[in-house]
Amino acid sequence: MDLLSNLALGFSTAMSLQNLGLAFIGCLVGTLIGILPGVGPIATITMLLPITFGIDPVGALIMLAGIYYGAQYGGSTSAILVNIPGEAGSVVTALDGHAMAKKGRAGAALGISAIGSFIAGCVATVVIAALALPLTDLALRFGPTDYFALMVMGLVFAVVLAHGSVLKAVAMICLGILLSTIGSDLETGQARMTFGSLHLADGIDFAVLAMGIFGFAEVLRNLEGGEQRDVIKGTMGPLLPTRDEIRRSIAPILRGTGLGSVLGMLPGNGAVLAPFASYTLEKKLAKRPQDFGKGAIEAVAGPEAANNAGAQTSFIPLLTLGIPPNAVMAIMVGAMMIQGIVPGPQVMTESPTLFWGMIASMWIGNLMLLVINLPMVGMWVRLLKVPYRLLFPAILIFSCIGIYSIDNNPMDVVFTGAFAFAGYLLIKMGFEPAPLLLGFVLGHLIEENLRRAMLLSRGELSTFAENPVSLILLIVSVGLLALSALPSLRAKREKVFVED
Amino acid sequence: MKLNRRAFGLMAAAVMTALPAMAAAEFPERNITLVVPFPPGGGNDAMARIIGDAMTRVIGANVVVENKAGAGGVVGTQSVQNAKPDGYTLLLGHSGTMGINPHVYPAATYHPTKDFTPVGLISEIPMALVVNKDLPAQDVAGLIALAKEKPGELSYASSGVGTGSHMAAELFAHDAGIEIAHIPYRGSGPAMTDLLGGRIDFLFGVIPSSHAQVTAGKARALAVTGTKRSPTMPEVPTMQEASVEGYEAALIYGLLAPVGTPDEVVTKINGALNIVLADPTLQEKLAVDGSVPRPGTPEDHSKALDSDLEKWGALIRDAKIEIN
Repeated sequence: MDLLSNLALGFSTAMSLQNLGLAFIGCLVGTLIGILPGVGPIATITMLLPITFGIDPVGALIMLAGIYYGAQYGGSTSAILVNIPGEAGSVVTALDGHAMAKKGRAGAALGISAIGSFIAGCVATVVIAALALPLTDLALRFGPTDYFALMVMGLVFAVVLAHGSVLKAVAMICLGILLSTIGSDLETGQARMTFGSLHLADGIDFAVLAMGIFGFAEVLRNLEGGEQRDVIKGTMGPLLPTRDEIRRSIAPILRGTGLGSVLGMLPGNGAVLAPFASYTLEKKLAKRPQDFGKGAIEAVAGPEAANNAGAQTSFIPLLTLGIPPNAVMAIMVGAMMIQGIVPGPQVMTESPTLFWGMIASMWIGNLMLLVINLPMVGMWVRLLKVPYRLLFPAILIFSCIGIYSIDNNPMDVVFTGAFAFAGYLLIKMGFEPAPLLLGFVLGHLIEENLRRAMLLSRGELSTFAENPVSLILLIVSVGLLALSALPSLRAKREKVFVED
Repeated sequence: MKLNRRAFGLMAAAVMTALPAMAAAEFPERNITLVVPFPPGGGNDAMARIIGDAMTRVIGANVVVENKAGAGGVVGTQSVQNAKPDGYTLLLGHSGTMGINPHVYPAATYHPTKDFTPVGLISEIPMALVVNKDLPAQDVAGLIALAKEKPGELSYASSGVGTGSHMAAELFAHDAGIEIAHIPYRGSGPAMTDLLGGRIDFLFGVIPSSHAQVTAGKARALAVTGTKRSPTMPEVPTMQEASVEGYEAALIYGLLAPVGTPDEVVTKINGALNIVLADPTLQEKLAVDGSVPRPGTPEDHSKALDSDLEKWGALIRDAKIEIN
């Protein structure tokens, strides 16, 4: 068995005292920095990159991977506790995770996301070890037409994501897409809607938008209520998930893992869709879909698992082709180059200790995260007991530091402030920010893939129908859209409230 | 008391007169910031960090890399243009930001040698012309013949409008007199993905990562764009050898300081840079991105910047590449 001997090589590399220590430091530091509101994995890895310079390549990459998982987990923590997602993946976690925290179940939400992430990480590691190579060639067949169709399907998820009016959700998606078109045109280099400002030339940063309309707006809204808050006032219930909650979460975790593993290995950043897809799936399958958005544990468990599985399998294009599927992996490529390794298909054969050592370390890193984080849950939950007058300024200050650290640009902080007011108004008028963020994230991908598909087909729209994958995805999207729109149309006619 | 005060005054005067001289002699006395006008990850960032780390050990101060990304490098470049010219703020400049941007971005109002003090060249990065493994063309002449047979039907990928990979391909089209379709991507990774997936016919990429795909049998290299063959792929001819007369496309990289930076400071940084570039371990590290070290004086750098600016400007005018 090749696989077993390769894995044995990997584990013997990853289990050396030095590499175990590096993985642990990576996970711990990643978690601690990643927990700063708005500081997602990208900012964390960037900040911590220099500390890996003095280490050998395998150790350095193991540590960086640890920082990555740690930061991802830390990002979920801040999404759950203070409703500030640091990256696209934790937007979904913030929805029900923060709702759970408000109901006094922050510990359960944190616990289940740690457990879900661990299970997803373990499965995804096996997927990478066993299937990375054959799947790579398959994933390469996925072209711009297919990505376009996939992202259109993602937009349909956004409709499902909203638990209010479908019309308002669609409006928010469109606004999100419009916001995503700000910045230089990919094909012509022309500046679009930048008002001549260089700051807008690259568009709006996701973290800036998300922190503004999610986190800061949430703080503003909470100010209305004075000190009376439902967050963990009185009884808190058990700190960790109850047996019943775990039982309800198992199926969503497994389904999320499957979705995340598949989407993550697409070289065109399919992982970004994973948590949204999982949320949609769980809501459709749930016995009580009306609980979604109000703290359903399935809505935390599934997407968290999907997010982590996707994060893990997005290493596949990097490891087997040397091509980074997203910004985080691009930094990993940079780290490899600094270590003197040319990323490419040859890494696997030329440095098997690196390839298999990293895969083994993924499993170890996931275990460490569980060990580090479960005991910390109590500490994080206690943080919520800090009075608002202390907690809010602290959140704002840390968030501003986080935003500034993304690009070392003070204008980003100003923009976040502006989005906070916009977000506050939207909440007041009953518009939800989550579909807007999904529209924003997918907007870039939809536009670029659509135009690229058009360029490649020299303007023939039939390219979408000729391609079986894109055709099927587009048909499924239309079907899903019809399914989600129908009940609410009917509801309006019959004046019955179907989905809150 | 009186004596003390006078002694103090004398001492102060002595210190004051000595200060300017000491400032230069003791440069650097604090951290030096090396601005990379691109986000972390990727070749530019890696080069800056490798050079910064090595220079820290030579120059006696920490060289700290700061990423100031935005507008194709214009944001970070301008931040250095407007920084204090004391040698504590340096810029990693290259053909993209210095030679191409001023022609294509209206916002890039700077001039590489009039608004900056060239400190020294680091390296140049030639590229490789890589084709999809199923493309019938076996050499550059074959590719040109194919493109002439089917004008406008061959697609090439670039890492974005106005990047080196775009310009190298346009220069090729211009010199060979062929018509090809440009498909821009965000970065070299996605561009290579579609080449491997068979949707793109060819692209110009940095040599080591292209070489990695070529040795894996996933793509073929037809030529390199430098004037000399690359030690990484010695069997691959240069464009000139492969029938495209006078063709050369290599991106130059160097350190720049704001205009008005004192000569002694520039000399000192240039000295440190050249010591670092002579180190074989560092050369090996730089080679990961296909960098060929080009140590030299600030004057060499200045000349290279001027000719680079002129070369790309001429192409953009002649080939009528409209970006805005």
